[in-house]
Amino acid sequence: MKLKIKLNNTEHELHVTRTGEQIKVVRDGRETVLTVREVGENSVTVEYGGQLLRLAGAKKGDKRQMWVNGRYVNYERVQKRAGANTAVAGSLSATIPAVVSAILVSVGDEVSAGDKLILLESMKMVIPIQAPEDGVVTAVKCAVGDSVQPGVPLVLVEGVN
Amino acid sequence: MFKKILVANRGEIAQRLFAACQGLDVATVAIYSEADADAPWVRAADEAYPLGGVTAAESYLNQGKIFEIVRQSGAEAIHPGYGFLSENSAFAANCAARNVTFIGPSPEAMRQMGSKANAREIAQAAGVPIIPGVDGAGKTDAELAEAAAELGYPVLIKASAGGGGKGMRVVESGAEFKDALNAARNEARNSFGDDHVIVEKYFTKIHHVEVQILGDEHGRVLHLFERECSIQRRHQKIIEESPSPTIDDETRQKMCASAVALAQAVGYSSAGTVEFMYTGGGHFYLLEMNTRLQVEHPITEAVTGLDIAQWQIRIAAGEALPFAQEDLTQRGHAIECRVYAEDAAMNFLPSIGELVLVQWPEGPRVRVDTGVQTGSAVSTYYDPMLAKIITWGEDRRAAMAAMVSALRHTAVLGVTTNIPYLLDILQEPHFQQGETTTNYLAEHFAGWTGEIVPDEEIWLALAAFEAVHGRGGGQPVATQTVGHTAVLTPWQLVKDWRNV
Repeated sequence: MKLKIKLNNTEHELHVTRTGEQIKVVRDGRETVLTVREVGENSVTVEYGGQLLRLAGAKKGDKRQMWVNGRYVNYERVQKRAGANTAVAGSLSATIPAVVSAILVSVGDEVSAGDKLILLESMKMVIPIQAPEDGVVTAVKCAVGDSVQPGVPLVLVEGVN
Repeated sequence: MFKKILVANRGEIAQRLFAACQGLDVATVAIYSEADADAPWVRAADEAYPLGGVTAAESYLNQGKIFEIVRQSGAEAIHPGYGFLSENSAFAANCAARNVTFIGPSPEAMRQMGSKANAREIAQAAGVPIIPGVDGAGKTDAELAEAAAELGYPVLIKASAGGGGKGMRVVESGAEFKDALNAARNEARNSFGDDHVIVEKYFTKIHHVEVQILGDEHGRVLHLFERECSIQRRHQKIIEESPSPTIDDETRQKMCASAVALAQAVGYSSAGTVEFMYTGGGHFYLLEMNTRLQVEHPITEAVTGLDIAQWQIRIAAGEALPFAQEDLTQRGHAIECRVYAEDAAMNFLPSIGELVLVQWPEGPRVRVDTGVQTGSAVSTYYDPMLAKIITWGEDRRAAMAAMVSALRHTAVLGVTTNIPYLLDILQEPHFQQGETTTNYLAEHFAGWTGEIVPDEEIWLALAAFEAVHGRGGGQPVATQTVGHTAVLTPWQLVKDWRNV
């Protein structure tokens, strides 16, 4: 995946691919392969060329606070802009009758897999509609307060794969 | 010995005092505010009682409630820790009136040392150096100018009724004295309605050096050597060490003897600290005496091998100190760093929030006194100190190296901490050479940003973190695909539901 990072007010780009225990990192044309040795709730230990890299991070939305072998770094993950190659178009809907309690995105927003798009309220519960994959919101077909039925599209997300 | 002690405090010092009690096989009672109900230190005691409320006034300063819990729990003594009620002589007197032992000095000694003017008088009588100065009352301008010359320039002219820097003038030479005196008097008259001024010797290079005192109820007062606490931000210490890298043996002996003399003058028992201003060339002057256990007591424990908190308890129980001054030595070097939830790059603004991850250093020469752990919250109600990290080494260099390593092995995430700031100080050449004045941070760390230039290690770490933890726990979102339409199935997202 393409990873865009904002650090010290500058944007940087890396390519990161994880295959099992191997993480391939490409930055400025240089490739490094890391081996995952240990994974904790907020921490990771990776090895490369015999070196052990211990790190832990805290997340708040796209903001990150990271501890790396005794140093602290704050950065922001910049969600990538959608490219032209849209492969899958998807519309998302409720599967139970509910009332729309909040719309968290608007047309043109780029979203990541897992991002909450719409909140529905039903049976004293808040049920989030989340993006199934990375993509761009192409349509919002409901409004706050609408009663919605199962299967009726509420939001359209064009995915990037 | 007491059977049960109530600790009228919170956080790391409560935890540390429970440990002292446990070492003496004394049962412990914790009291806690609503904000501290889930704190780990509360569970470190044998019994715990809610005070209710969240503000200090509603909780840890609420004497009525505290005495009620004393009665309920059957505690025989109260340890006040530092802050809160620790230097409140009325509280100490209230304890005595209720037949509860206050673990600390007598209310009378607390009163005498509590007033700076009073302490100055007692010090003068005991031969303890005080800041040289002359009272301007009833003196002519010419007499004051003569006195200033005698003190030696620079001098400070300040309003007797003063405060907040009003009516204060630093005078560099005799030529400026008369104008400065008139200006200071005018300002004093306008601000306080009184042109009474005091002329004092003004010092530019100041070290804060203090002496730990331990006195028993049988007339023995000993000193446990000195601590240098010059590294201060907003007049609060953040790094302390023992011995002081600044003073020589002769000064140390004189300073420690002065501290003992002052404590003896008020019949002091329990632990106390006499704070001095050290101005170089063997000259030191009394600042004040703190009649309580000091935050930085662990470094003295590290170099003397004595448990000061335990001795406070044993002294309060009537025990006599079984050792003499010549039995005590200062062995090796100890440093303490105070870890605060604050942003050193943003004027030390406290940082509030949940501690997502807390990991402390370990090792035979590292001590961590803390009252928080992963999941604890840093609130606005109390001091944002998270921990004290203390390292010991055979010499200063070894203690510093151990501290750098200890701080690097400390991971606190979720709030901004001063750990990077502390690390940068520890590695700064002037600090390493022991050039630590109270102006050190202003001189060497003004405009500190803490920004790091990302290097290979940072980029790789960042990539690894995002690859492993980048997406909400790494769990893919469950979907059903109907033709080209991905339909979200809310039932499979049950972990994100919440009741409303």
